Amino acid sequence: MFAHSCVSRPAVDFFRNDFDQLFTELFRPAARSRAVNRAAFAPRTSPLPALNVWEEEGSFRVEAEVPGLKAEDLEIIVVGGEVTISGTRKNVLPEGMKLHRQERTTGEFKRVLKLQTQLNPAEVTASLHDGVLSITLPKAEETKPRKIAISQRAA
Amino acid sequence: MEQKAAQECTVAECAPRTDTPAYGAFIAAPAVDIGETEDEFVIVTDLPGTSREAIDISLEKNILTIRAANGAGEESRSMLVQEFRKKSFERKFELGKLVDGEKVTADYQDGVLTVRLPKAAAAKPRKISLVS
Repeated sequence: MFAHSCVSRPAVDFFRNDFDQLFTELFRPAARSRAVNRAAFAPRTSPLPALNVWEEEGSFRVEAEVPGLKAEDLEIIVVGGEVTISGTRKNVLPEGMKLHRQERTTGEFKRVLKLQTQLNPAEVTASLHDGVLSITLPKAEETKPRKIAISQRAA
Repeated sequence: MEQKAAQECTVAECAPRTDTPAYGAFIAAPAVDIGETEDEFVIVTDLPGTSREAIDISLEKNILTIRAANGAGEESRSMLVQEFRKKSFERKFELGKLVDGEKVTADYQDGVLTVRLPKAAAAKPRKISLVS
């Protein structure tokens, strides 16, 4: 639509749920095993998966990097123009494994995308391949531009 | 007397994590988990969007290099949000003598690469029985 960047006229309202930050903090101790060398841990990067969102003709597309997750670990909910992607990454390590370094994040995550256009939830499709979640969100029919035919009227 | 397993981690980084572009490509160091069991070291790395063919693992002398080309990352003109992009992955590890280089195996599933580095026989804990 517009060639503007997100700054001048944001087409996506980015809402990060502060609550789930708290959630993942609570999960942190559970994710680590007892025999753990705290000094080796790198600082934790964002627990939320990275997203790419772009607009195509008639639909929005979302890609998320979700390595290690299977379809049953993820949940996608679409309501109106809002998309919620949530899930849990479990880091299952074999019994008796001693951790020397843990940089990969684990725990629950949730991302909410508020798009300024109504979507058609019935036509949303999503696929997961090699750790990349790919979602296609068709725009609602009502939002698509419709040409109005002009009829001739006798004077 | 029981021989102790290695106290310190023998898998040390020989190159710091940097994101440096090369030849126009963006190279990132993927996040890793390094663990140790009685029999082996395990390196688990997040490599989303690549494929088995695009991953290159090499072991030269005692340097383990993990390289991969990333297939995911759409770059169209109307990006509304862009938090990741097409990039290459690379990370190197220096392995100590406790690893048996011949028996290293790797598996790639759901965007996660798991490299198993079996310990050399000398490194495993061994009970030494007393001769009566």
